[in-house]
This record gives sequence, structure tokens and C-alpha cells, in this order.
Amino acid sequence: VLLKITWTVVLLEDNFKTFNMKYNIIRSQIPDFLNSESKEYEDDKVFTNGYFYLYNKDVTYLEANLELFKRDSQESMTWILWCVVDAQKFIAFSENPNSYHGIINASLFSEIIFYEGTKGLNLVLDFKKKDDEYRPFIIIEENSKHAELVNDFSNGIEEVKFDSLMNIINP
Amino acid sequence: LGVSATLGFAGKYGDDGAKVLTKINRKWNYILAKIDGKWTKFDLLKKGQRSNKKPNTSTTTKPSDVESGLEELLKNWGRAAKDYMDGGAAGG
Repeated sequence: VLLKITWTVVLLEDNFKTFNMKYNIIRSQIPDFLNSESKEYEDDKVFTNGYFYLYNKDVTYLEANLELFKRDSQESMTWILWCVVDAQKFIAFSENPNSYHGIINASLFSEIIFYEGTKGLNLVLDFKKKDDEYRPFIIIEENSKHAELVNDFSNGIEEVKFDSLMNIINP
Repeated sequence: LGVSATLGFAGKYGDDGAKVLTKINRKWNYILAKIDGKWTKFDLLKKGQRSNKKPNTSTTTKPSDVESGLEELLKNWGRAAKDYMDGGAAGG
């Protein structure tokens, strides 16, 4: 009985903690042409194993995490975004990822909400760092065309801006 | 938007104050943003809902290597993709 009560208390504490946590992950929706429930989906053009999507035997689509930290803090916001990689390059990479040091060039298919003009942006996917669903993490390189994103990725998001973004998704 | 009272105006963001207009659905946990004139839906998650684990940066492999489990998984992905490219059926 004591064990059951303890377990219940632990469970309630966990639920309470989750309930009190703020939203800090923004996940982009799967593109319609990859979504089997969408009218735009064409079965003969899409191959997937649940982790990546091969479209038209031409390009690979996969999700990746963009984690941006609050400046001088451990707090962060994460965007889960759809990225595009040339199919042949993705296959070559996946055959021997360590010969590529675990990283592959990609471009952004999703918009990063709160950062305008990011669709199509070149970036790097780093598979050495992944989440529990095997999504790699995005590296924004110094020479990227989006200066605001480079700054926020390299230096962290300024406190006022970070808090304002968090307030938008946690009204 | 058709979802009624659960939608509440949450705020706006952007240099001109109007390029991205967000609405939060508190019940279903998503955000709607108007991007280039089109409403786009984004799901909202909490870190604890996805996983309590920190991103894996294994110490058992070289810093330049992906961990062995993921390396195997990636190789499987590559094989599956290659088989499909060589004429296999769609659908995984």
C-alpha cells in the first residue's frame, strides 16, 4: 500500500511538473504532398520508413531540431522543422555517416516561425546530436545568409526577445 | 478558422508588427501563424512531453562520429532508400 501511495505521489508530481512547464517546442506540420491523409499525396511518388521521406526518387525530406538558447542561459526554444537533402547525397551519407563526420548539408523546407525569409535557407544537419526520435540537430553556419538567425544561433537570443517569443506561445 | 471560442488572440510579432499574427488554441495546443498571407499551423509541445532525456551526445564514440546505434540505423535508411531508388515499391 505504501509503495502504491508513493508511486501515485511520484506520478502526480510528474504530471504537475509537465502541466506547469511552458511550451518551448514548435513543430512544423508535415508537407501535404508527404501526408498520406492529404489530397495532394501521391502514393507512387513517396517512399518512407517513418524517419525520412524520399520524394519522386529525387529529394529526401526529414525533420530536424533547431535549438536556440536564451543568451547566457540554459533556457531554450526548439523548432522541429522539415529539411530537404538531395536523395543521392542522403544515400551516400547514410551508407557511411562517419566519413562525413556525421553532418550533411541541407536546406530548409519549413518556415521558421518568428524568423522571416528562412525557407530555402542552407544549413547543416548534425546527426551526432539527436533527439529520442532520431531527429538530427541543425547547425546554422556563420556564413548563412540570415544574419539574425546566425546571431541568435551563435550568441543566443537576447533576453527581451526570448521572453517575448515565449510569451507569444505561452499566453 | 472555424474553431470558435477556444481560439484567443495571443499577440503579434514582426518588424512591422503584422507580418506574423499568431493565435493560440489552448485546448489543442497549436499555433496558427499568418505567413505570406496563408494561415499555417504549428504544433506546440513541452520538452517533457517529448522526452525527459537530454539530446544524446555519446561519450563512447569519437566526437566526430555518430553513435554506433544511429550509424546502423542510418545505414538501414540508406539501404532502404537505395532499394527503392533501384525500383522498389513506395510506402516503406
